[in-house]
Amino acid sequence: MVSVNDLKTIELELHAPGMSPLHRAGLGGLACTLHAWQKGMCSGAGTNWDYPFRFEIKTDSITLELSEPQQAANALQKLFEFGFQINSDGLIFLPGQFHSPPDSALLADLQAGYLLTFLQHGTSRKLAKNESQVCHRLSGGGSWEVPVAYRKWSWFKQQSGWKDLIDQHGRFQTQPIRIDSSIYPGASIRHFAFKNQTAIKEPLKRILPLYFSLVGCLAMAVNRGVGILLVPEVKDLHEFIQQRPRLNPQHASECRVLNSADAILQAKMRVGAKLGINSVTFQPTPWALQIKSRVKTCEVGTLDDLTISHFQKVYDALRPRIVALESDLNRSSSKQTTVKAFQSGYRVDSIMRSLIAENLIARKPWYSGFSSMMSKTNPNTGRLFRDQVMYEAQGLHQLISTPGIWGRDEERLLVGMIQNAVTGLLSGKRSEAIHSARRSAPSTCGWAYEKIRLKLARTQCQSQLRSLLSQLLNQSSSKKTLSTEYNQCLAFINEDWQRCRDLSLLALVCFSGRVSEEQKLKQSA
Amino acid sequence: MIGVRVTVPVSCFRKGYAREYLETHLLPPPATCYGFLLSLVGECDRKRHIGCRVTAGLISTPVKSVVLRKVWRVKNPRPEARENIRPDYQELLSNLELVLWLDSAEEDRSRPTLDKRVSSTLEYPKHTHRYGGLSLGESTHLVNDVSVIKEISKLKGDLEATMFLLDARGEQTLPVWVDHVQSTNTRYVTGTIQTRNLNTLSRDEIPMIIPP
Repeated sequence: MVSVNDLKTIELELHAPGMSPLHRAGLGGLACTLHAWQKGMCSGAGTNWDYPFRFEIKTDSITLELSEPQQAANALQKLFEFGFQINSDGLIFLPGQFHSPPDSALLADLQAGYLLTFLQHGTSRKLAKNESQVCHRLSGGGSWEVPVAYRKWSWFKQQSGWKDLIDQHGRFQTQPIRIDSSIYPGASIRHFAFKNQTAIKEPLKRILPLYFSLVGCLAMAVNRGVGILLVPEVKDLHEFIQQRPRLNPQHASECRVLNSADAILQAKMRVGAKLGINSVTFQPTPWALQIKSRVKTCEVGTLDDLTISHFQKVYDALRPRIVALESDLNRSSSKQTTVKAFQSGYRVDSIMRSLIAENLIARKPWYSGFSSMMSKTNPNTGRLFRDQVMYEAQGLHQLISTPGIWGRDEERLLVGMIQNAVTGLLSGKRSEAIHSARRSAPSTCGWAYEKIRLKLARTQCQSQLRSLLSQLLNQSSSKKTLSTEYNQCLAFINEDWQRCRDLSLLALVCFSGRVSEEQKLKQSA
Repeated sequence: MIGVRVTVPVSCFRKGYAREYLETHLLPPPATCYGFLLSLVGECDRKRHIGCRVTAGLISTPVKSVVLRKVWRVKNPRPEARENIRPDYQELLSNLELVLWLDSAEEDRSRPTLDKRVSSTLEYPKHTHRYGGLSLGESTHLVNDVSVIKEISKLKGDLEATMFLLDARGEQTLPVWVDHVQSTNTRYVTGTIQTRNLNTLSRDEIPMIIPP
């Protein structure tokens, strides 16, 4: 049990009753902050941060010890001033999260996450009116400059949180303290007509870790309206001190996440599969557009290394791309002589990775639900997923060719068979069109391709799928080879036709890249 | 120590801090089980059986789903005000089959203990005065059936259940006493959710109902 002894010593225990995962992550954050402070002192870099109390970090508890009870105010003020800083660029810098100060661009990306989770309310922060900009400088496949816009911070609630934790005599507060959503996102007042009675109140022993949950957790933005809070499961404080800096994204591309499953798996790729991570998704709801409410939670415990290695393959094939800004493209096309060391660009992320990440976490085949996705609209962009997936055909093609990505041989066989059948069919259509000269070959191919896609998407039962596939094979030029493969896949189709429908559509989408490339080549010719 | 078998078609055991997106625990916390047993025997004084030990064990695997529902809050003191209603998401568990493990050895023995009252209520229902539907979780989450397990061998399937048991280094913290208005007087215990053989349970592992 946590105790405040004679108002001089506080012992904060990881497994004390009432310590939720967020409290434990917060205690981990406090341990990281104290460790950073100690490290700064040892290296001589932290001469401005002399600590006015003694502390001890054990594997499952932290003890803070004051020399006099009246020193509580001074001690907590210094701890909070060190733990919650704003750097010279006006960005939040939490020393407990990093081994060494990171780039401002990385901090700006992380800041977008805070604005959607902990610090979403105007009362919990002070921001500049105008936007500022910092840039990620990337090299590899060209030299890129990716700008990140942000608004400079002058204050946030955690900085002055120490005032809530002391009484009027400057000693530790012994009365329960009210918490709000800036330190525990989602813990709002139950009845606004009775604010004081129905707000959540916590004792000092649990509220101090909650303030440092900003350090222990990782908040990330999906887009301007959706944020994800990752809450790591802290089991050992010493271990967490080593893990926490690795939890942060290290590069510009890692700052992009698509949904909670994607964020968790990316974090696990950096930290390791053993760390359990809970996530909470925040986004506006139709009944409360002005705030980002909790709308989804996801708990992922220890995963096996195979799942992480699968996701690594997926991430390699479908990682965020950098696209040149239009102004830069125009400049290069008009052949101006301006020489730039870095080309400006922005990040574009995959659509498919979100589905695959969710499937991997749910321990389903990675392509499950692909056919239903192909008939849905992306709520973020208002565009059809199937139109957006076309841009990823190359990545998907790379993915299906990756060794070890398939759980069973029949999956690989079915995909290969469909692609060969479609190749045969479309080459036949092309030669027909060229002979008849009524319609251009590329449009005939595109039309035939669309017909197959529509038929596959509309398949409602096993017999329909079987008849469609056999029809496709019959129309193909290499009938004999394909019919042998079809017979091998027949048991698989009978066993789980919906999975086979997903695979068939996936095979078709991967193929579409080749169709469009052919079309482009013909058009340019 | 007695076991009470309970089946509930739909239920939600809301987490204390989940005031938006009503998340559920996998199991009913000890405080919820205690409230359910008090309701079963028609006891209105929540302090009447302090000292009893109670925990829940899952013998089925419930399915979790999310629904959109109406939530009441008091934003305007006028009860009929429209802003007192809002929609929100809620997690629900379906097809729960539970065993509530109850031990009254540390209760005040001068009066009838809770385990005896539960047994007698289920054996002679006409002798018990109670009112309202019997629910586990929210008042709308009515139970299907309740029965005392006299012989463990009569349980469905094997004798294993997923239970919340006390553990000083556990990762779960569940309430044994709830302050429904504020959170200040809620009392928690630490434990783990583990799959255990029901024959091997010891009294010390079961959480005790004590107010703060």
